[in-house]
Amino acid sequence: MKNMAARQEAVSVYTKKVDKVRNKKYLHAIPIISFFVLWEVITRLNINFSIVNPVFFPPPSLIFLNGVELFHSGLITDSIVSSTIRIVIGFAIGVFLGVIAALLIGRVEKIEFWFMPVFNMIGPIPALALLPLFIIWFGIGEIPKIILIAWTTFFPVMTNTFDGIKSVHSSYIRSALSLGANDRQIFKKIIIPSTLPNIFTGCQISLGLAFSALVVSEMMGAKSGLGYIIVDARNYMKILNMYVAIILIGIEYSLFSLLLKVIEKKLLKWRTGGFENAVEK
Amino acid sequence: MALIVENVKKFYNDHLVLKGINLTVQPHEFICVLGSSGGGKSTLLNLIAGFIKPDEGVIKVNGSFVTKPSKERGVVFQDHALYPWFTVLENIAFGPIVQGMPKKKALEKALRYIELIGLSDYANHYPEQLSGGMKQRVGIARALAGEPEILLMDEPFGALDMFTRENMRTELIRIWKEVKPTIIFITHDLAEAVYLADRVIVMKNGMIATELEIHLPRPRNYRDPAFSILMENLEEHFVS
Repeated sequence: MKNMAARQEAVSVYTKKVDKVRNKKYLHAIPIISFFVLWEVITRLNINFSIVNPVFFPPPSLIFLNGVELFHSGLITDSIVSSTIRIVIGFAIGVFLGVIAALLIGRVEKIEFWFMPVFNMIGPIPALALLPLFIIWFGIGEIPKIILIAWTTFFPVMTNTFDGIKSVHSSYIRSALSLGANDRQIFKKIIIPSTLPNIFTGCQISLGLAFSALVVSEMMGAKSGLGYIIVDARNYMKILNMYVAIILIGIEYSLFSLLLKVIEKKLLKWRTGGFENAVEK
Repeated sequence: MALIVENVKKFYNDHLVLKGINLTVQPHEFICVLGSSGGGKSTLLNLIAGFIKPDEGVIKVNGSFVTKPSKERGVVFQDHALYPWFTVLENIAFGPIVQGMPKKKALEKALRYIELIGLSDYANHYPEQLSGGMKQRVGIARALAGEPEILLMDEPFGALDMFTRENMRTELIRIWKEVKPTIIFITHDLAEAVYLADRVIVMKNGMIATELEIHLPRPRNYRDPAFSILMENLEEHFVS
């Protein structure tokens, strides 16, 4: 009898585990929801007791209502559209040039000799320090913003891609040569696919930096965009608008990051590994 | 005359790892190069493959010098070196495709080689999804699909377990009898060498210590007294 009970308990523990895994996705929402609930409760209490100035720390419900209002005024749609256009164009240019540069550097030794030291010198300079210069050179239109975003995107993509090219398994190249492949075929069929994971790593790093570049560039000499909402809100003490813009930036970044991950998963479906595949839970 | 190695020497950091190797391999011959690790057998294989260059001496295949890797010398690696982004079928079709065969024909050809190694059910799997022995069979099929005259095998079964290794030896002999390439097979396993080879080349300290022709009929039996005598013969070169 005792045995039976123990076994039943073991079974129920096991099924609980299975349920837990099945509900995992849905469980992800709980910490986020708790975060906002806690925020709401604390800020509401603060409104009643005024421990710190409640205007600076609004509850999420008020921010949401303000967001709806701004949406109806058309400001949010305009801002999201112009920010999205900037980030998409700038990021795409940066990734494209970064990959091309790495491939050229990896392929032609002379290019590596002449360009790598220069890139290593310029790369670490925070791109944001260059923005005022870009504005002087290119004016206050879209061009300096896009160049800044492309610039910040370029370096991590380039260095990661280059690392990937340098670390291609030499036996892959040896076997391809022994099967009669020429340089161009090895490049296309061996080096590029084996470098693809590194390119995506570079893209993920760049995306975060590109968003900083976007926001900062919109804070200096812009008339639209999510970053513009923030400076405008500061100038007129519209704290709620500031929170709306900050949250929207977070959401937009998460969506782009997710999109990259989806594309990565599609392109790298041959890849297995990582903790998830190492141990069954 | 298939392959001639003439007085080949190779240095690594001022250290002479191959001290003048002479070797002639006939077409369709199955050669095993036997030796302990550090004896220079992998260096010899890399030289024949054209991955590295001799410091002295020459290597000739059908009268022309070996200067770089070529499709006439296929290689099977110990770590199999299958491309993880291609399926089994695409891996095997790689050779024919880069050699200019239209894709459809190349895939048909690859299918025939998959049949040869008995993995038809796994054509659309990725290498990661296969066991060690299966991966190595795909590695052999990929090298053969490039239609090499000489197949160079660098301890291909070294990373496999005992049972898989036995199966792979039988498989390899069957495939060799069907396709008949010249094979140069590197191993440190005495029984493996005696089981597989027409001729065993024993390498020690960067030199060929001895050669032994094996005339036992195939399939060979490890428990055959003649097999044991040959093994003892070879073993003597390693005890001293």
